[in-house]
Amino acid sequence: MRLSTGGLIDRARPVTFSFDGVTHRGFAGDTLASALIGDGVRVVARSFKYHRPRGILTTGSAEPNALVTLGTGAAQDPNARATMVELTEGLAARSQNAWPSLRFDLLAANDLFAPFLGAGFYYKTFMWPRAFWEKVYEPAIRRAAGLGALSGLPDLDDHERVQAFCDLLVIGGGPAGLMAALTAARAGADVILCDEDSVLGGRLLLETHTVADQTGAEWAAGVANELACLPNVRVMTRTAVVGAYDHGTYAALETLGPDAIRRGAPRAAFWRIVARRAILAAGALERPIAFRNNDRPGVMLAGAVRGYVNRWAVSPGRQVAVFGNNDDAHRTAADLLAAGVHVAALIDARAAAKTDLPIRFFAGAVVEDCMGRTGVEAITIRTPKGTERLQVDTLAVSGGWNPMVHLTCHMNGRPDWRDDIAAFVPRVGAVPGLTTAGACHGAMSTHAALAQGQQAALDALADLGLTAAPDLLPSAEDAPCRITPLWAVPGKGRAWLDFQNDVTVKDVQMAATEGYQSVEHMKRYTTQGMAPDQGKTSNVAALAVLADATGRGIPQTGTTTFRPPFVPVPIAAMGSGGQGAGFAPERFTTSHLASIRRNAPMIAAGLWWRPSYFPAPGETNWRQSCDREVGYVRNAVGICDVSTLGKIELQGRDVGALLDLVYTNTFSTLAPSKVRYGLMLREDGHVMDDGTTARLEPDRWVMTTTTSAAGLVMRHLEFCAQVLRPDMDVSVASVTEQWAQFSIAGPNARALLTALIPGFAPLPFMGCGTVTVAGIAARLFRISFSGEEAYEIAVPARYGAALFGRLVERAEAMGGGAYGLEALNVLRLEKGFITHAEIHGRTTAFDIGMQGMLAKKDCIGKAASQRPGLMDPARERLVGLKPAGAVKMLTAGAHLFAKDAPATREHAAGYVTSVGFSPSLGHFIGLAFLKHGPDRRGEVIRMVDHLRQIETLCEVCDPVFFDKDGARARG
Amino acid sequence: MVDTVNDLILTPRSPCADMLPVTVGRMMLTETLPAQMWLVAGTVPGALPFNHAHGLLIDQTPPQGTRATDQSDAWAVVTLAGPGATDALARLATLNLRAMTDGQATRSHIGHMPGHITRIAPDIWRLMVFRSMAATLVRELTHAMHQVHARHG
Repeated sequence: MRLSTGGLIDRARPVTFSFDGVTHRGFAGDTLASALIGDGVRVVARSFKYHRPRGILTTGSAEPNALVTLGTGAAQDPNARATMVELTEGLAARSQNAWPSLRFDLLAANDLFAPFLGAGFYYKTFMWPRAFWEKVYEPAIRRAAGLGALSGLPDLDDHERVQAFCDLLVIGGGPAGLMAALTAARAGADVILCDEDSVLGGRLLLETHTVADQTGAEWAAGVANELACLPNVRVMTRTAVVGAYDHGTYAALETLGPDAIRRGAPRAAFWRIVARRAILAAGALERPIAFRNNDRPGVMLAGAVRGYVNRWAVSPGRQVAVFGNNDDAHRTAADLLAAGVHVAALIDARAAAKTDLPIRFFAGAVVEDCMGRTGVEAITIRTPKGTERLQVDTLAVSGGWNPMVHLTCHMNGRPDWRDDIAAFVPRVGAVPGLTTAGACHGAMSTHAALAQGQQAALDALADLGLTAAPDLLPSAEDAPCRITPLWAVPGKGRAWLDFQNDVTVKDVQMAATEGYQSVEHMKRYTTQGMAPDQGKTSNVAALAVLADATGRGIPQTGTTTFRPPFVPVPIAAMGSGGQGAGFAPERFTTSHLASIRRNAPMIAAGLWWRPSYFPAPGETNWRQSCDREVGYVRNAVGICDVSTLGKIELQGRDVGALLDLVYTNTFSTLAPSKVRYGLMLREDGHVMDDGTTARLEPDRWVMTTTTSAAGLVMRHLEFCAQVLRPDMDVSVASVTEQWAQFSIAGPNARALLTALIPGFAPLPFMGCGTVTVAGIAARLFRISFSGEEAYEIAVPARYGAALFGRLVERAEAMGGGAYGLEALNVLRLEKGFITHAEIHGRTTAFDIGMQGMLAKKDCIGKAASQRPGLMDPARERLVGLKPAGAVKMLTAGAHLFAKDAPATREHAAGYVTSVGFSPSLGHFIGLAFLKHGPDRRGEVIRMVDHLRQIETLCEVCDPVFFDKDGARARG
Repeated sequence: MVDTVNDLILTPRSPCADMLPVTVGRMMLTETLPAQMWLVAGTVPGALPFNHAHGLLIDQTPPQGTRATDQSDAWAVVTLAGPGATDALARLATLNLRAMTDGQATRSHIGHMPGHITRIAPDIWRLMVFRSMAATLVRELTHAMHQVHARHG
């Protein structure tokens, strides 16, 4: 119910929203949770396994129960914690994990089968009959599993990823964090202050403490104002620091506020913050006490109950009982009384506890049961004198407070146990450069938080080389922490530890009985702590129960560790900018626009886009275009953009010697103005790449690489020059991007060049030189990948688009035109030229029939290539294939078998690497690797493509199908 | 029919032709066209750091005897300027941009692209990526500019 006065809400701005289709009203400043409580909504969810009705448990980030789904369609967002959702006009939230409705959920039948569904039940059931596992059990379990559901549609919302650097990162904007940020900022440090909430203040916003004679909220607002005005401070609200990493790197998830989102800002930002120093002032989380049926809607954490009253002016009930084992729980009773809410009883488990409050008080008593399926109706109190039943609609529970150690464990640290506060505290130095302050450090009073925040900042400033005189600390309460541990009330029935994964005290005890005594085993066997909340409200109690069950103390039992992220992070935020075309940079050639204008389908070759073929009007199938383009090159002249191939310029006196080292054949003997084909091996003797290298001038060479290996070869050359032979005088530079390069191939290529270049002097085969085109200095190479007389012309890239246009025009005037990758591939196949389909990383020079290219000299990979087994004639070696039976189709990737052998793994004799239809020959041709390959020419073998269900009889033949002596290229 | 050679004119196109300038809020992204760029080996006065063995010489002819490789056409060069420019770049670069000094230059990644970043002034940056990646650079910088603008209005 909504209280008539108080709270930090803006009563002048009412907000309308809906939950499961029912309209409700709240105010600006409400969260979804506070507004639901204000409108009397008790049941907000169904539990994970047993589908028991659940209500809101907490006020903040650790909320295990109140998970809702927001948004529809592609914007559907499951598992949003209602306690963290800012209320905005028109918000439509839906409950999860219930069918057909929250009020009437059929799967609540699971609760009746609870005895069979305890920890580890899936290891003991669903085993018979075997066939049922895949067909019945698994699908059913999958449908029932999970809490919220994804939409299944790509997330179209914008997200961003940002980098930030600072001197000091303060994590948490409560009293400790505010004091730390203020101290450091006033001393001139570059500070980033992060807080998960939309408003700074932390616990001060939920309590009635005063700080420096102001309310906690007023003091916090004052500090926030000062920080906002300082140019060396960046305040990041709505930002959860989710992970601690090496070298002072922290990950944070920022949810943008409603105003920013209305202006078109992204929904969330994933930050990588590098801080020279960091202070974790993240506070502490309250923990419940386990007792029978402690998961009923209306059972809430005591600090949360008073938080709802103090900050949002809502009371979860009209008759509230408070149950705890510590002094802090008494505050809830006091605050409720002050707000006019009826407190039915204060129950303190400590026999020596006392109170001055004018309410029914039970010392040395515990709550042992809770009645009311869809909401608390009554509780049973066990006192020293006997049991008593009390009618209440809300039970505020406090089992103590757990410092938020999570981030300090992200680098495999474990926390330390402190008996005096019955809690774990961060271990000093667990994250280099990070210190802790305040409740997070185990200091539970406001005064201690302020003092420790200030001191932590002073220590950080000293490390940073900045000096500061500490300001006077504002006055604040300094109550001691008094607590007697109580983890679970003994008794019959199920008592919950992990609300989000439905794990009870019995489950943990059973795990111990079954031999799972390590906390790591208990966690995984029971799934305690493995839900999205990472066990924030259950870890310590669960391990205490385990400690009890195994006769050990808590420090001996130890903890599991915490790993990033601290709260769930949408993958869309971490991967922002990487969807669709943003996945990788796109690389476009200078002829790209021309290709698009000709409707060429573009295909990805590494990061480059290259045209597949250029359809002519009337053509309906790609093969028509491909065959036509092959005809251009064989019979007239074709133009192809080959700019994407790697081009590396090498300069220096020792380039020849370096090339002799990296290539199998000799390059130091290459004369200027000549080009040579080379084979490059890896250290392990397998082929790395092939290409041509031209010696333009005595000390200037240009190497080409295959498109996708450009970076690889560049790195290899750098490694050789820097590491293997630093004595060599060589300089290596990539010029792939500097030059636009086009192939001019066919019987009319020379005529085209003669018309294009004034005073064109014929170039010998494998020659090179500089020429002038339209007044521009260009490079010309006479090399052929098609087997025809061919040239490659390179101009500075700014002229690429224009030159391509002119070349294609002239080619078309000569009966030819542009050709794409399909035709390029068929042309080279007809000539038996290899690509990386053949030199795929597991083939050697011997395998591809180029053993003869290994000169007498040494080269990288030579020794390894001569290992036994790499020269075995029985290896799969390069052959050509052509159809020899009724079926005419060859497919790349198909396997080869002897004609009469079964098409099974044991009889595999090789595989097909490249195929194409050859218009020159009128049938399919292919390159393949076959055991004993070259020795089996003439043999008819079986090609079997198991995936495509194609079987072809093939004749093994010479891989060079066309113009065997290569006369056409030599002109 | 074959054109006579005298008719042949090749019109140059810059890497970001038809993509720039782009203005978002008070930020502007424009193309910069150095007259010449050279990768020079060894130490050459005026060259920006490029890699362990080379510097990048912009708008200067390499001194006689320098081992130089022409890079005038190899890079797409843009200038990102205006209040918020540094914040926009922080969405694509992992450097401590606010700690860089005027005139400081370094190789680094811009998004996933190998690049070169020079701080001209507090909110003025000269950025370079491979020519072929110009479209990706413009798209990603424009997106970042919009994201910054939307936050602050």
